[in-house]
Amino acid sequence: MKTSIFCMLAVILTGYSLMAADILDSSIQTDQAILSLEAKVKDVVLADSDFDSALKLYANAARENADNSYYKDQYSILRRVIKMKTALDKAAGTTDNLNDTVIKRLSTYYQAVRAYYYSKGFYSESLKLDDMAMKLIPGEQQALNYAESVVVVNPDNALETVSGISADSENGAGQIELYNLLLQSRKAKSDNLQAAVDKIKVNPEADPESLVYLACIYKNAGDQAKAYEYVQMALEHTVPSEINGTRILASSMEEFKGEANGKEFVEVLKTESKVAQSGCTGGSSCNSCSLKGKCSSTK
Amino acid sequence: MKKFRYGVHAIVFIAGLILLFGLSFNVEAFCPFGAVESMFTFFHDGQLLCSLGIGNYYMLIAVVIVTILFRRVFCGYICPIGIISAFLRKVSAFLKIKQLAVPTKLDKALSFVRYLVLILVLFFTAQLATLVYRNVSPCIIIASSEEEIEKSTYIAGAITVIASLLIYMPFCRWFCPFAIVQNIFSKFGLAKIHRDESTCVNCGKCAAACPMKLEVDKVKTVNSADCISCFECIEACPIVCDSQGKKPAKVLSWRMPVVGVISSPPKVLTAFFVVSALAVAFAVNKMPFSTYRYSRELPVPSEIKLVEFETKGVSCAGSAQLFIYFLNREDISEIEGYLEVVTSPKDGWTSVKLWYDPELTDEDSIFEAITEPYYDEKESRWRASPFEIKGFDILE
Repeated sequence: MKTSIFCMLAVILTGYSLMAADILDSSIQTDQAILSLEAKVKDVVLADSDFDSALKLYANAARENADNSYYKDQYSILRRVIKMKTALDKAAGTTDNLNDTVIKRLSTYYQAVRAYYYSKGFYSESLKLDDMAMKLIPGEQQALNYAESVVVVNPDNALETVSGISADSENGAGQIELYNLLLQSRKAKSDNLQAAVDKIKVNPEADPESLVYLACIYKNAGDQAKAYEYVQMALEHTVPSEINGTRILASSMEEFKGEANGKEFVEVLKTESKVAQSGCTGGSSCNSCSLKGKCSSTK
Repeated sequence: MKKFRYGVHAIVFIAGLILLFGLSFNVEAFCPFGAVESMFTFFHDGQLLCSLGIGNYYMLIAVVIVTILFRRVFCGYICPIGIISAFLRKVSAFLKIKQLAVPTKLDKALSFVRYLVLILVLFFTAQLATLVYRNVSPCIIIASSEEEIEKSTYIAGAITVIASLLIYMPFCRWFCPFAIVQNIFSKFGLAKIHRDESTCVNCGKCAAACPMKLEVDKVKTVNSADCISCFECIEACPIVCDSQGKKPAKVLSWRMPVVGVISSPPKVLTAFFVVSALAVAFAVNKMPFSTYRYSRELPVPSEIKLVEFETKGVSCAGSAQLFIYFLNREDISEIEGYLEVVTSPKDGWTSVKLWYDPELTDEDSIFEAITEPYYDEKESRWRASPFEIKGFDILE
């Protein structure tokens, strides 16, 4: 009796182990397939701004992997981004005066397209977009965004460009100071760098990207340990849904490009988020939402 | 009898755990009190509240029918608070915790608190169009995810647990608003406990055993609407033979008009519980009715078209509101001409009827709006649509 029970348990455990191994294996294969597709998408977008080809890549993957919603979701998001970008390009090409409603809509489109570019690492595209937005719907946020993209893409005239941008708000001025400091640190090492960077205040939860920029400054100042610590902190303060965007940003920065395959940096990039994803299910009305008492946006 | 009751408790408890944690099932969508809470908004505005669905109404109908037949068996056998309270009674007895004796007058006075709770819940739910009772109902601790539970709910849950260890079923007797709703029907309940005064020795053990603290030993028929048909009084009765010690005596029995004495309550109740569960499951899946209606005040167009389709992702009023958001969101400029939407959940899919002005929009635009992702400005991120329309593929 005992032997038969033991055999049954052994069979069940073996079955479950094989199933678990199979699931793990297929999950690793899926992750690799997604990484490979995302790399192809990035190539076609960054080479020729060819969003239509990127869309086709997602569409083909969605047809081939009908059981994985990731591909279809990415297809439909990019499709929507293209529609919004087209609307922005069209508005930029017109000489008509824009009324408040149109400006509000274009601002939403701009934020949405930019958020998409940053989540995918399309920074050179974002630089063009921010430049266009500064002219189409000028404002401090657009200027700050433009300065940020200049810092990330790092063209030859980066320092001159960002030096020419100013911000009225305290937060905005702080951001510009941070960008300037980062660009200066790229030009030459300074003894005052450490002291200057210590004075900069960032809100990690609201702005984990700034922690990445601080990490870059520390890297330029020669403090590698602190640089990694800040990258780690940035990842820990990013919500789980956006953590890949922060990983892409960190590894795309001038300071860390050479370490993309470095063991220590790769380990740092594996840091997981320590902040909880909001339970918000989306939508515009929070009136009857059972989570509204806990939602920061409704408080 | 006790074995039967605790057996039902165990089945309900295990089934609840599987549904909640194994299948991530929205148990709240089957709470009969949810139907009572949202009755005003449902009949006034044509829509349920929060995470409620048609299951709440079918469950309420089942509870009303069973209550008319067998009194408040829902409280005694199915309600999670009733089950936990009964379990805590056992824990209390095991730990030899001395029960607090509540004077009869105070007990009666406290039983009126339920009316006040019911009135306040109905009033504020109607006024605020949100399920206010969620903030204090201990059931929510069991049925909802951690992030949905308010501190006040935890406090109410803790008080209920502590009080249940010291007093017999305090929540059910004094605070439960659904007890009042059931009492309306239980008052006319057909099956009742009868006491044979000729064989009763007036030992009072039946009354002492009653978890609802009913005076079973002082009445000929237990007419109190609070009887939960747990049969603890029958079990506690020490008289097993008549005065000559020959025939089995029946001091307490469960009787029903026409039928007479119900000799095997477990069999009868099991049959009704199974039939009720199957009937609710059948009704929820096969007999949909609209739970959400949304109209826009637009000039009446020269032509109105109706499109009917089935979608996934709309299971309750909250998700129906999100569905409307997908039609209303500002980044979709195409959807200007829809007039009214009615949703009826069934079978995991939801039937949707949508009336629109064909001069301003068309079916494809509507389907795209519903299934396309959107940019969430609050969280600065893209979100995929949770809705899937049967037969519509964005890739085609």
